[in-house]
Amino acid sequence: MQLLKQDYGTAILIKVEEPRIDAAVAIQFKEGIRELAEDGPSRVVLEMSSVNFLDSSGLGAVVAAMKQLGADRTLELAGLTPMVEKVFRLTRMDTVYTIHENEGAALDGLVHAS
Amino acid sequence: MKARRSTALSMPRDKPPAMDEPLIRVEVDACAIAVRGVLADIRSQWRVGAVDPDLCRTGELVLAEVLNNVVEHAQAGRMDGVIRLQIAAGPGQLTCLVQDDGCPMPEGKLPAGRMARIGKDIDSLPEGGFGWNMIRTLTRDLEYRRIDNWNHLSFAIDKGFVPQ
Repeated sequence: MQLLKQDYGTAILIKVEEPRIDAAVAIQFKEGIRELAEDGPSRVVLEMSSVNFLDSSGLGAVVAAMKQLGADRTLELAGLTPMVEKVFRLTRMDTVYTIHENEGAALDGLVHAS
Repeated sequence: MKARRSTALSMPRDKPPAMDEPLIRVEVDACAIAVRGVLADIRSQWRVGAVDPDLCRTGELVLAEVLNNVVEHAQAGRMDGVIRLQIAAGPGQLTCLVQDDGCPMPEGKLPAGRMARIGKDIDSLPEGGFGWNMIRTLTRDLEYRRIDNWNHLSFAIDKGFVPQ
């Protein structure tokens, strides 16, 4: 599971460098996010522009990743490809997440700190 | 784990299909990795057949949901489960037949696939139950039959269908 973390002080960016988040990797994905996001700032931005396929298991893992952050932290999404965006829209999960067009829009004004 | 493979995609030999209606027939082992592999094979077949890209994306999503349901439910706990797939790509539509020799659907019918409740409370958000809802939303003529201890699921997917 290729996940790349960047620290921006008040936010962390996690780049998902995987083409597919599906039933075969959903658990590894959830665990990977948990490890990287532990004890960080309140905002966690998941950058998904490399992900061109997400199924219901993958979506469940994204939801689980958000829950495990706890109540005082948020998981935001950025760079959704058309296929991934479609899955969020179909399941109405687009109403739950803050979705940024891209990484730049998500981190507007923040400076890379690591 | 037993070595898993997906049988190579084959075109039927008895009746060569017209170029605009390539027929895919494939048998796949009932496990998540084999499903991933067969979806990649189907994707490249569709690319060769110049199937509409949006139709491909929808088709792949629906097939992934259907196949993973078979792996996780009908064939759960089995190492010898088999799924047979038959997909015809016509102009602007895909018609699919998925057969497996696993357990029947609960009560012999398809899950309702009702939309899980989405509230503002993060802790109560559903982590599952999206699959059948998406299958029902994205398909037409969805039909389930149990014949000689096999599940038969057939459906069609139309190009350009935009759910409300």
